[in-house]
Order: sequence, then C-alpha cells, then structure tokens
Amino acid sequence: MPSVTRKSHGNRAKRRDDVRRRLLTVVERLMSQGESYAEISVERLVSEAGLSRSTFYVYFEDKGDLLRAWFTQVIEELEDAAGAWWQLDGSATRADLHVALGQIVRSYRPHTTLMAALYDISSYDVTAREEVTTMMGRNAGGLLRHVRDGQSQGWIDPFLRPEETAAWLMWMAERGLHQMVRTADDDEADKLIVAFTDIIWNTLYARAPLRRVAAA
Amino acid sequence: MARTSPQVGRNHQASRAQRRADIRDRLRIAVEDLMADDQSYTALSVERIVKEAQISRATFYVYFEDKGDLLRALAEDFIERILVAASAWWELPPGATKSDLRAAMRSIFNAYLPHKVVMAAVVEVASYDAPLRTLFGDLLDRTIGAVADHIATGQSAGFVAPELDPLRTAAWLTWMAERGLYQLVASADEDRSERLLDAITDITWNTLYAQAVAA
Repeated sequence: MPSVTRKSHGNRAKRRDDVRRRLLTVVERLMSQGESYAEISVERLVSEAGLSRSTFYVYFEDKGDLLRAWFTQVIEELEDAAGAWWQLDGSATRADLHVALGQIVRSYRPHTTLMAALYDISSYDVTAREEVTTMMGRNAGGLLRHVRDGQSQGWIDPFLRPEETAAWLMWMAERGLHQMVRTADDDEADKLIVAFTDIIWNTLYARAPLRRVAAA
Repeated sequence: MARTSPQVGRNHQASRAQRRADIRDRLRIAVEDLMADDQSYTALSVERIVKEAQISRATFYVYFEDKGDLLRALAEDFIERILVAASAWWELPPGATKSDLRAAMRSIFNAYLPHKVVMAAVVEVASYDAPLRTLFGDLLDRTIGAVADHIATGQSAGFVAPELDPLRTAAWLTWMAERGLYQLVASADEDRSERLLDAITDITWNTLYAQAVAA
C-alpha cells in the first residue's frame, strides 16, 4: 500500500511538472511578443497551452503560484552561478572576474523572461515580492561577505562602505540582467559583460592596497 | 490677419500647455497625498483624485484622457526633474573632485525623494500598462544617452578611463541608479541615505574617474 501512495504522488508531481512546462512555454512566447505577465489571463494561458481551466486549478492556486513553482527550481542554479564571483580572492585578475561575471550572465539568460514575469507580479503579489526580496537579500549578503573579506585582506578598496556598495551593485546586476541582457543577442550580451566587468573591477578591486603594491 | 493668426495660435497653445502643467502639478500633489496613505495608484479613482485636488471632473478630462494619461504626464515631468538635477553631474568640469561629484549626486537624491510616490506608481502601473512601459523606456534611454555623452566627452578630455564602453557603461550605471533610488534610497532614514550617497559616489568615482585621474 505505501508504495502505491508514493507512486501516485510521484505521478501527480510529474504531471504538475509537465503542465507547468507547457504553461511556461506559452508565457515565454507571449512575453517575448511584448506582453506583461500581469496582462495575461489564466483563460488565455490554458487555451494557448491546449489545457482546460480546471486542469490549471488542480495544480496551481493562481498565476503567481505557477511562477513560484518554477522559481523554487531555478533559484539554486542561479545562486551557484553567483558563487563563481564570491569565490574570487586576492589572486584574481580582471580576466578571472570577466569569466565569473560571464558565467552569472549566461546562467541567468535562459531565465530572464520568467524572472521578468516574477518582477511584474511582485508589484502586487505579496508572496512573489517576498521571494524576490529573499533572493536579493541572499545575493547582497554573499556580495557583502566578499567585500568585507577583500577589505580585511587588502584586495578590495578599504574606503568603500561595504553594505551600501553591495546593495547598489546588486540592484545594478538585477536591473541590468532584466532590462538589457534579456533582450540582447549574443554579441550584445558579450559587450554588456565587458562593461559590467569594468565597473565591478574599477569599483572594488583596482584601487585595493595589494594591487597598488603589485602595480608599483 | 493671415500673418498674425499663427502668432495667436501659438500663444493659445502655449497657455493651454501651461494650464495643463498647472493642473498636472495640482493632481500630482493630490496623488502623492493619497498614495502616502498606503493606497495603490490602481486603487485610486479619478473621482478621488479630482476631489483631493479640488478641481472638477470636467477640467480633468479637458487635459487628460484618463488616469493612465495623467500618470504618463507625471512620469515625464518626474524624469525631466531628475535629468535637470543630474546635469550637475554631467557638467562637472575636468578638475572636479570626489566631493564635487558627491554634491551632484546629492542633488539627484533631492530631486527624487519629494516625488518618490510618482516612481512607485510608475513601477506599479507599468506591470500592466504597455504605453507607460514604452514611455518609461524612452525616458530611461534619454538618460542613458546623456550619461554616455558625458563618458565619451570625458574620455576625449582625458578625465574618464579610456577603456570604458561609453554606452554600455552608462546603461549599467543608469539602471543601478534607477532601481537603487527606488529600492534603497526611497525607504532609507537620514543616516542610511548619507551612506548610500557615499557608496554611489564611490562606485561612480572609481568606475569613471579614479584610474584616469591617477594616470
């Protein structure tokens, strides 16, 4: 008996994943045509996905729930990517930073449309807003630890205010990814990564005491 | 008569534009007061707004098509104020110091803070209003263009780091300012606001000027 229950749970989870994938494919297509997630109704979504309205509500409470189910799955992947930057230390060069930031941009790129959807609804969906705030908080926390380590070890500019600098840079990364990288082709994305690298390098590392010694 | 009528027409248009701007400012104050009580722009009715502004419904519709049209006018006026304040940064002379830059950044904060509610309304409504999204995108592009010009000019004059890509560097910095003002500065107390001012000054200084000045 227990195995039957597990199996039916397993099937339900699998069906929910399938339904979610079909619906999100529609969302991505409509959003790439310039619509916002807030403007797309559940009716429209299910009819374009070839599903019934009742099927939608078997698996999801509402449109926000659909998106949160997706977000829970990608959040780990996105945080791993950010780790490539936090791991850099005093021995890192500008080229290393370029590689790490490129990795972050490239792992966000396939998800930028749905991330934009999450931002759309977080202007009125409290749960979605909390998810976004939590993610931004974790990322800002990771960057803050990185800045503090670098300052105490002499490879980040000691005059910077760690908390506020990390907060501005985090929002720069977030907005840049969603406003620019989202619509960029490969060539443009590469140029954006170079400019992003220059800003981060000049802000944090270029004026650190250790680098001045090395340059002298 | 034929020679004077265009003149009359222009005057008439100018005064209509002036009246529209006056009405817009009264409506802005009303919207700011109403939204300060924790209301969303979406939840406000034209009825409520005109009552608070003490103008008639008919007057509202003489100048604005609807609530969305009013918000587009408010957004345009808001960005215009930010651009005027930000010109203190773009017009810094080659020998400017970090404290000159900080003063220029402060004038941007000071232009933003009294009208932060307008920005909150724009963010809220842009999620479902395509014309507003387009307008806001255009206004941001203008800002990015002005920052890019400043970077390019500074590079030819030798006070901005020569390796930077003017347009894309400007774009990252502008989006940082747009979102940071909204997410960080709008809700900061005075001490935190000063620290945020220090931080954005350092980020901008280190990115653009420090390497060129040291060289």
